[in-house]
Amino acid sequence: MVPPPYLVAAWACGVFVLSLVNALTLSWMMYAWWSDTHWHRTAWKSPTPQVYPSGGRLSFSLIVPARHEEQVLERTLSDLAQVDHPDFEILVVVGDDDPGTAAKAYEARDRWPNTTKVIVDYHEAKNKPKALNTALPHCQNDVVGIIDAEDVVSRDLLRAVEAQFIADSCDVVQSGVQPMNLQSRWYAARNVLEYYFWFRSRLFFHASRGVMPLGGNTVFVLRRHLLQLDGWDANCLTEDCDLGIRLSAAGARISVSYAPTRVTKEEVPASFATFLRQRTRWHQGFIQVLRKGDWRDLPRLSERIFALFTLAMPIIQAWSALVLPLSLVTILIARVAPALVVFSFVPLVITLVSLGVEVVALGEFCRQHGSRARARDFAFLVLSTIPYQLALSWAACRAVAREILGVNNWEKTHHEGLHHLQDSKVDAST
Amino acid sequence: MKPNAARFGRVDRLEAAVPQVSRGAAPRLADVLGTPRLGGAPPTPPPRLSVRTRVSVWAYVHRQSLIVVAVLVVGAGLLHGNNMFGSPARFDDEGTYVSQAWAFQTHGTLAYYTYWYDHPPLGWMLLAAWNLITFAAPFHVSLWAADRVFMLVVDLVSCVLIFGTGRRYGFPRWAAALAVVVFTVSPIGLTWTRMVLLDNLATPLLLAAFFLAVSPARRLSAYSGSAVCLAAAVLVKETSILFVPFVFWQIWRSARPETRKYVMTLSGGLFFSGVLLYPLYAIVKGELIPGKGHVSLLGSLAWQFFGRPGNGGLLDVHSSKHQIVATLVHQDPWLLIGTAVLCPLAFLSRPIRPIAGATLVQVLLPFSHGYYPSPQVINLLWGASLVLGSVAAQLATWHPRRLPLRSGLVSLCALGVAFAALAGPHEASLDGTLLTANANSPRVQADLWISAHLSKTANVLVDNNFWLDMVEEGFDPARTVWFTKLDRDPAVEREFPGRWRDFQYVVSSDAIRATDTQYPDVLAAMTYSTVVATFGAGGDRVEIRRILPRLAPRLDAQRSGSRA
Repeated sequence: MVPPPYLVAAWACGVFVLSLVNALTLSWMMYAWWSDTHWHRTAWKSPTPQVYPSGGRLSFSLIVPARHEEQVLERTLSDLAQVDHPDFEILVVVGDDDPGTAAKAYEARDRWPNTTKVIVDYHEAKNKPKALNTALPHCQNDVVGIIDAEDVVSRDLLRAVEAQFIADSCDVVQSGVQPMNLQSRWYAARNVLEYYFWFRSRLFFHASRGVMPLGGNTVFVLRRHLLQLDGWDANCLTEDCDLGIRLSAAGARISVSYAPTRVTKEEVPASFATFLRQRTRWHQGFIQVLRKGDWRDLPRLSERIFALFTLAMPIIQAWSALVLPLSLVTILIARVAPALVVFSFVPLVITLVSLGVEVVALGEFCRQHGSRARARDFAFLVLSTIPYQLALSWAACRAVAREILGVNNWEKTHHEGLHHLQDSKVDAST
Repeated sequence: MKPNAARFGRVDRLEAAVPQVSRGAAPRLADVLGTPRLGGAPPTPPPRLSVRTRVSVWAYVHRQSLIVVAVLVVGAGLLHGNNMFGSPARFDDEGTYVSQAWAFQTHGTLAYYTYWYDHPPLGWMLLAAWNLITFAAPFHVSLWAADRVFMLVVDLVSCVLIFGTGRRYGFPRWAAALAVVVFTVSPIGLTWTRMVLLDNLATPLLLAAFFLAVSPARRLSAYSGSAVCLAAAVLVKETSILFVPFVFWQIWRSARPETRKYVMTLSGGLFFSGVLLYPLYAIVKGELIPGKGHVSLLGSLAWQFFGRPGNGGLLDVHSSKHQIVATLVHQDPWLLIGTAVLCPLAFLSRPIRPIAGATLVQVLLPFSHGYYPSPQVINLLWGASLVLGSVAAQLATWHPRRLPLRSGLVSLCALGVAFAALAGPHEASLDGTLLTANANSPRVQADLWISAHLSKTANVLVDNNFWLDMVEEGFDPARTVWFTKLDRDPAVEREFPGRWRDFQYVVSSDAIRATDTQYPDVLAAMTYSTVVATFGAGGDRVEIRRILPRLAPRLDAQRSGSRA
């Protein structure tokens, strides 16, 4: 069967767009390694006294939204209370319908009454941005930081962030977030590396281009800016990305830092279903931010195009999920010119090159955290490539469908605290 | 108060309304916040320069090099371009590549006859692109001439890249310029870089691969570009694969240890995936593995590496390899022998080692048992010129304590003078021949005669250079047959069941006369034919011969009779 020329042309265009998207994604993912200059600019500085001035020039309010997190909240709050900084407060936001978590929060407040406050969120339908907005009026310090209930933060985080605020004279600092338990699930290694490339490299690129989808935690914003922007969007599924885009459009200076010793440790989603729900939420959130259109206020055309590309990624992914099988069918059934068939392999070839880069990064990641990647980890990383892509595409399709149907409920990610366990293992071994 | 609140005891409840976010309400922080940020005002970002400004700043910084390069390019252009259609005589392979470019641009196929994976096709795709860009066909310019112009452009690009690569390897400007001069002036260079050959197209790609691999800013994009150029070079001419380890060696040395793994993975991945597109094409066509009734990539490769008879040992005086190398050495003994001697010396300079290594491989290649085609020398040329430039630069800075001041420079000058005295006349006379002799006039006359006297419906056996000219003149490509295809291509055999007896003419050129028993039909056509017209004399002469099939039985009978 010889397909009509217009179909072949459309197919070739699809392959071209897919190649371009893959190539750009690979290129941006490697921003930190683009050149010597980039490598130095994105590399962490060692914690010397010069980097940490005497401290206390900035005060911090750390918001910890907690919902059904009684398993992990205690440890998180006790870690936070012992963070090395002279001037900070912790605001735990608990729901009025969640007594278990609230009890843990009050326990913590009783232990550290000077630093810890408990705020109750009375919203009928609860989500993270509403919790944050509830806490915002209670924040009294210069900088508002967000820490998730399951996060493991490093002791010197606030000093480093303060130093960065002063050194870069910026409005926002996004510090690295990193899931650690890369051996827990089949998708874990891939998930860990995704975070690694995002926070170690790609966010620096976003910061340099003035279009910043912020992360959900370990993000620090000058309080007056948050008030100026009226806090978070209560109806957005990715309030973090939305805030980042609005801050970027408002001309805020955003700094990124990633130091292996200072990353906020998280866990990969506990089950595949949770993972899918989390991805669906992120994808849908990006589409919402795209639809809200704040990115159109970005001053430069190049920034607007870049924001459009970034926010439309879930749509592109859903589209490619539909195009790729069609493309395969075309190759197998229809008689297409051999050169075109070869051309259709280009996106796959770029994916393979990316896979090579990921294998290198896995080794590097494990070395940075004092362990060695095992053959099994590499095997999982390689073998999970296609299933993981399929999962992401499925989540993207789901997100697009939900957005079209107007389904907008918050699918919360459940946490088991596996990274805490791993952390204590590492502690025990060292 | 909400019902649950009482259960928690002391609840810090605030009635503060949650602010609602609305689009468009966000004022620009920069405007609203008059207060300076912490740490003072942010550092003013460097001004965004326009492309024009950046180019002019770059040109100002590099003005001395630019002047040198401009002079070199003009000189090389005059030397290369002067009489480039007259000399050297049209080489057999030129006809192959240009006619394949013609097939690609007019028929969209990789060859007019069955493409049998003799070489990867990127080279004649580039030729076809040049022909299309320069509108060679509509202006009735001979494609061969258009592509010799392309070789001029390619040669000038190579000159610029030799200079740039030399500079990146730390040569002083004069040494980099010396390398360009060696590359241009050498009679071997002048002979072979003028011809439309795949190796000439691979040269700037390989040079660019080395140039980008020495990225001073250690840019990932430069390393990637290097890998892509290398892959393109291999897809132009498969023998470029000999340079692959040396380019990657260079990338390895150039990258910083912390990022080396990323650099190697990315560039290696890009190189391999680029090269693998070629076997992928063969797989898609079902022509990867040898089988009945079709050509195959692996079959052709096996023939190139194992099946093709080597052209003898270098030391065997009667072998064709010996003759090829002897001819080359006669053309420029100084460059070839000088390179063979100086390559090990170049290893003393650490930076140039990858190029010296690659050049050494090319020097040693004729000593191997395989097939050594004469255009292979092109791959030696640019490396040799860089090696000579490097050794000269080292010699100039050589300053042993016991010897008088600047002894290195003095000996370099002495060597230069000695070279000019000894080698100058020989090289100048060879270059002079290349600048004046018209080696192609028999072919031009034959072309004119053929279009005036031969019927457009005649079946003619020709070499591939005449094939191209006649097809361009309007002869039917189905009736004008490249002689090697008569005994090899099943499609041609089907078309002409009577084999050589189905043809009326054979245009006998050096390429046809050089054939032996591997083409029995061509031999028969040459035997049972009579000369109608002759152009030129000696080995370059062209004869138009009329084939007389009825002669065959009579002559055969005579022969068998005389034998009896």
